Amino acid sequence: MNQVNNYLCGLSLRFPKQIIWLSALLLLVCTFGLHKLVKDTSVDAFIPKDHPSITARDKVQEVFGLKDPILVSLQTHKDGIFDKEYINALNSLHHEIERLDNIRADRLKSLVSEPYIEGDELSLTIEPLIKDSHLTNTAEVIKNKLKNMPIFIGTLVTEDFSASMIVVELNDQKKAEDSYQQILALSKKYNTDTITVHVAGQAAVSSYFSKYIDKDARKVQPLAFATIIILLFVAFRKIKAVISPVVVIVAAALGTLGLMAWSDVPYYAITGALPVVLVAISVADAIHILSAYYKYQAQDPLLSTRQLIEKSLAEMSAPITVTSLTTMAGFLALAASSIMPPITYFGLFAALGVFIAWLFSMLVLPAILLLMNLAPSSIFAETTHSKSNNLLGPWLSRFSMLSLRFPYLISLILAGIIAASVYGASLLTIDRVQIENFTAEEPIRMAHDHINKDYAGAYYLDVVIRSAKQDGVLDPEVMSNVVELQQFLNQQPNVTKTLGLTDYLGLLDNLFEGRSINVGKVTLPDSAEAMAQYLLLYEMSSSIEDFADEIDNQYQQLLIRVYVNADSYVTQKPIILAAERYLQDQFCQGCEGITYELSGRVNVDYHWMERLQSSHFTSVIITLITVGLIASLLFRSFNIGVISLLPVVVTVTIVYAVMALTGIALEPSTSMFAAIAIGIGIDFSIHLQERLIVGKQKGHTLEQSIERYFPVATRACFFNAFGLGLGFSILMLSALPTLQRFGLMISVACLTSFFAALLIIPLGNRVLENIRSSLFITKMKWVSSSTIIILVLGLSAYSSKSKAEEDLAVETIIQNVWQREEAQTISRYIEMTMTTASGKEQKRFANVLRINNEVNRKSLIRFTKPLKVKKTTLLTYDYLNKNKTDEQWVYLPALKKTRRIPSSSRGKAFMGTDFSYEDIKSDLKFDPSEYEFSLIEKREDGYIVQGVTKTKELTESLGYHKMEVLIDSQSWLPMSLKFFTKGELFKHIEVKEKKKIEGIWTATIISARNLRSNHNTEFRYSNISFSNPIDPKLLSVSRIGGN
Amino acid sequence: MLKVVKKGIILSLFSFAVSAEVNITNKLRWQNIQSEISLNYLSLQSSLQIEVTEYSNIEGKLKLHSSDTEGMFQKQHKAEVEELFWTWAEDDFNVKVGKQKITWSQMDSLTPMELISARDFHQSILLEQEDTNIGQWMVNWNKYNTDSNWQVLLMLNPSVHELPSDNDHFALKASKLRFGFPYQPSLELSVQQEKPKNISFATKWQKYYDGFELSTGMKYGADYSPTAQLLVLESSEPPTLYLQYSPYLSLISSTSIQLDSTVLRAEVIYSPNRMFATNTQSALGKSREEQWLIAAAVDFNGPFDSFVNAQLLIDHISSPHVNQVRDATELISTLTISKKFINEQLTAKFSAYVSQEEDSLIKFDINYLFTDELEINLGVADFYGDHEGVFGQYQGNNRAYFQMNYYF
Repeated sequence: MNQVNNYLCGLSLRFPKQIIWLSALLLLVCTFGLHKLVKDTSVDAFIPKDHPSITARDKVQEVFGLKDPILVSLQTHKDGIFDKEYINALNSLHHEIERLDNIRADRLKSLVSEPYIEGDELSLTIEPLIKDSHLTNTAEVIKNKLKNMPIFIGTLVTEDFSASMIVVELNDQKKAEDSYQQILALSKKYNTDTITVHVAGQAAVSSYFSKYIDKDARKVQPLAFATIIILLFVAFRKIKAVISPVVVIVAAALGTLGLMAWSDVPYYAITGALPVVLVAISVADAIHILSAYYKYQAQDPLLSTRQLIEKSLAEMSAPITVTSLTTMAGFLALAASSIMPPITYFGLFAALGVFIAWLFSMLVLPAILLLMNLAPSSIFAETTHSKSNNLLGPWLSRFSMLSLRFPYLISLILAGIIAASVYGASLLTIDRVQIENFTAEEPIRMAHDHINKDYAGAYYLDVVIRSAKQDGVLDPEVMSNVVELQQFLNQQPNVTKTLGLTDYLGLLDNLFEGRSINVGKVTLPDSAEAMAQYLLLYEMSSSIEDFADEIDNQYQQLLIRVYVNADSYVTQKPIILAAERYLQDQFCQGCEGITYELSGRVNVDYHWMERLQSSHFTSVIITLITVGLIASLLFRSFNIGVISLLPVVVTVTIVYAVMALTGIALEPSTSMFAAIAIGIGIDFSIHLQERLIVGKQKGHTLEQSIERYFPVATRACFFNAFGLGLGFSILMLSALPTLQRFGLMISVACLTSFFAALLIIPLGNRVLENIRSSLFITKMKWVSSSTIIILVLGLSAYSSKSKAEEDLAVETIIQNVWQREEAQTISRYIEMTMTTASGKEQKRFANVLRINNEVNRKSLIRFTKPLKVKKTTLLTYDYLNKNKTDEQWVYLPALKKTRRIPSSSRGKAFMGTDFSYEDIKSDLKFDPSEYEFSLIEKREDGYIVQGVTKTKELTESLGYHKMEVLIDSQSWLPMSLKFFTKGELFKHIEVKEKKKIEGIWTATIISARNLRSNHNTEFRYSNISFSNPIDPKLLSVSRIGGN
Repeated sequence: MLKVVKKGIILSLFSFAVSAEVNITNKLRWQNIQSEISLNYLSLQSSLQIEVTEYSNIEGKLKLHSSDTEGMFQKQHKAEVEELFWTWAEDDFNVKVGKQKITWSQMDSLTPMELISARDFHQSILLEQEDTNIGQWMVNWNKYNTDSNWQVLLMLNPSVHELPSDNDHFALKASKLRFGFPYQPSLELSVQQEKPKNISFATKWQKYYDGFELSTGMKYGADYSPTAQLLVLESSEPPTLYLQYSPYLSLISSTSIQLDSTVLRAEVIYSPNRMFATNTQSALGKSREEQWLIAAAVDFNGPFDSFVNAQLLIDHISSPHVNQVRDATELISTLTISKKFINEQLTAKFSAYVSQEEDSLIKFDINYLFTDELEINLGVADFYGDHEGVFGQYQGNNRAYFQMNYYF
């Protein structure tokens, strides 16, 4: 590391002008890329495009044509909507919107476009709800009609008839912002004393975000820049001193954004924070180098500029390199652990920005200093001399000294703060309310509040019911189950309405049967034929396209839209869980070939928030381990690494507590703070710790080291922390509340970790000294620290279990596969050939013994070739009870040792092959209780069946959510298995040869191909015997390495 | 009839057996360790297996070894029979007679926990345990039941630890680990080594339950680590360093438990009267003490499909002699994280070893299988910390290494 630093320093001092020119040129190239920068403020940007919830939603959009709409509500302040002026306004706005570009005119819905259904036992009349004639006549007619059409209440008109809505779908969601602005412009025309027009919906939200980003770019970013410049001036009291740090800041911010643009990475809503973050962070290195420069200049005025730079860099290059590394580690851990592209890119490019700042600090800043020849700063002259007017450094040192003077008291206070923080942090909630990003006065917020309060809600959960056969969903049993499902969902909190085909069929049935409308109760025809006839009759009177939102044209897929009036994850989660549970346990248990899927915005939001929950804490742990390791390596001491980490651990806990107490929930933007705070916060610990080590090397006591080195170090750290805090606090002026919260938390974290480091670093070093002199505590320390490591790692060894399913699937084909005859004992020889994409082959040969019994399947695989694995033996007990974890042992011949090994997840690759552990142990069978099967095609030689995993846990465990299987009807062996993850085919298993051995159909050649890596594995079985008795003792752990 | 499996190699075998199948396999290793100096070694390990009858076979391993561990380009050549034993196996038991490498410890690379195999310290911890265990001549009897087994070992002429000499890269520098004296002769000091007691005896019983296993056993025999005394035979002659390997009794018990998909292992060795070196104002001596060795380990599949292993060892002497050379309590913790890539062709492994002296060894190793025959290892090892520590004593031995194994 020092070699690199010395090399950079040498380069900088030898060729200062050339370096400045070259860096300016590179910066110019980066900056030029900014013209390519595009904004992507959609909420969908936060979710990977191949995420199952997105693919499910896209599938629904494809079949039913449903997209996230823009909602335009006309609210009247008179008695109701039934007056001529209102109806005219609605009619007029509807048609004006219809004529706009990018509008799906055929799917524009309002009272103007929707049909009114009227009929009796003999006839059915379908006509527009609002006819032109009504515009001049009384609106009473419409009122009466609406009362007979309960399906529109809550969806198109409020229950008290004070407002009605135009639902606008767009052809191209990417142009949503333009369409929203056009609709907004149109709406303004209709805002009168008696009518208020509200525009809401997901597209409107994206547009608002975009507007806010522009506002921030104009206000917050220049302000952050200006603040840092003022801070630099205050720190050094020299205008010239500000120049070189400004170059570093500009390079980091412009370079990063330019490279982002060149890489075609869009500017997301949270990217708005990136320039501010980089400005705040990148100034730190420059502050430390300049502080050292002025310090040496004050100490020895005779030193040349070159000598001053060399001395400054010799002192500061190692710590700033390490602190840059730790900050980058924080950002990279954030990038690595997040599945949300905006956060991933934020982490990656912030790390890149920190790197650019480091490179410029090490290379360009010295070159500028050399050419500028800075005059001494009065403030450092004061700091260096004992009679100092500048009290900051000494005051901070004295504060730090408190921990040595009153170790017990300070320890007690810190312990109290930590205990209180841990308690506070335990109250932290994970939630996200997108609409709360806007203040209550914002029109968008008012529009959403209005729709959620007066209508059924602005958020949709879609439930799709699918049948394997045509007309399948019109089956009366399915339909009655759908009605019950809707009734169940209607009872869920924050669900205000459900709408599906059943509601229309119930309406038609009421008309034909002459019943009066009974809201909340749906009576359906009692046969599939009757339902099909109702739909046919409707088609003859109007267009069947009226039901395009509810059913597909083959009558195989049905959509139920669930209206939810709350945007929060905490509120939506129970609805999703209840729906999943109901669908799994109660929905259509006796129906044949029926599958279901959740979709819609609510489902999408739920799933990515779930991922956020798991990825956040992983990210924090990874960041802690990474920066802890870097600090340990820097100081060559595990203990000092831990001590350096303590202030940031305390800080993060305090910030969690502050979040919990102030009601700030963990959400995408706030979740970023922890990893960033750790990466940045440890810098103070490293700088202070490094000073203490220098003191120790020179034979100083801790007190002497603090007295001697801390005034300058703490002063630099203070300006660093203060600069960071101030820079980040500028984000609180952002138009986006989510960035305001993010700014607040990082600011708090920066200042807290600085003050925590001031106390904890000396205290930790004192404790370490005491421990070293006490044998007993030495023992305890190592026992406890090692135990903590083991416990922390042990706790993170969480393995998800698949939920036991009791209910049997009904399809005979699957039962035939499941109950296919298998031998109780199997002995065979296996040749495994693994082939890479380039054709390179590797082979493994092994003897395999297997015993199947009622409790478990025991398998013993003893490798015979190649030499590297010869005699290595794997013994596996796969328990049929899925609640019991499988057991595995490996015999290592070189050590003659048997070792129990943790069982692998079912989807993990089996010993480097393309088969998974699940493929091996399932022996080409699949448990009907774990999949939802449907028949895709019947062929002469068998059936093509699709299996969809029933639970999310199972999907995670297996690594796929769907398989498509060709089942041979003669042997009931699956001859081809295609596995899909996130909608993509990734693995294909084929049975290439099957034989009937001892009366049992057996796959003798079977291959698996990974379509991503194009890696292939083939298993060839020979010497197969099902009748040779196998002594159970051979498959016992006691003799795995025996005879 | 004699069947030679390996092409191009013909072996004459005089055997009374009716038929025999001979397998010869070889492993050629070349290793280059870059440090301040270059250290190479080349070894050829030949494995021999002769299937004499269905119930009887002979196995052996011969190693030809060439290295410059003794200094820059000073090659040291060695031929060594690592293992050579005859096995007679029946359904429920077997007997193996000859030189064998047996490992009892449930732990990985925690030398103090291994009771049966002595260790070659020339490459210290940089080599895998399987490459540093020293074979012993013994009778090894195993009895197998369905869920238990019993092992009895009778070791003849037991081996002791092979310690590197003073000018070796891995010479023990920490005084407490040098047993309080220069453990190799210098110009002024002659050395005399006591022959360890002729026979060591060990037995172990293992029982496997549903979800966990338990083993318990004992060993009585010569210590692998020496104690020493300085003998003045003639007043005109320099004193003689007299190394002794005192016999002692050890009781061992170990268990492994599976909790969900996490495996926990624990092992305890109790030695009531083991001999330890003392040093009173340069007067070397020894003292019998009670020793407890307690180790615990956890294995689990970590995030991102990694495998994680963490271990903790406590080596404690209950009432240490006031002038005992080593610390009364020694602690070592280890952490290993490995991950396999490209269908297990590439394995990356990070290991950290830490002792109570705050010294550490950090290793990062990458293994790549080019073919079934050829594999390479690339790695770095960084020792740091207190010079008196188990790992810190090798400070200055930081190195990058390249190793190539060819199997044929």
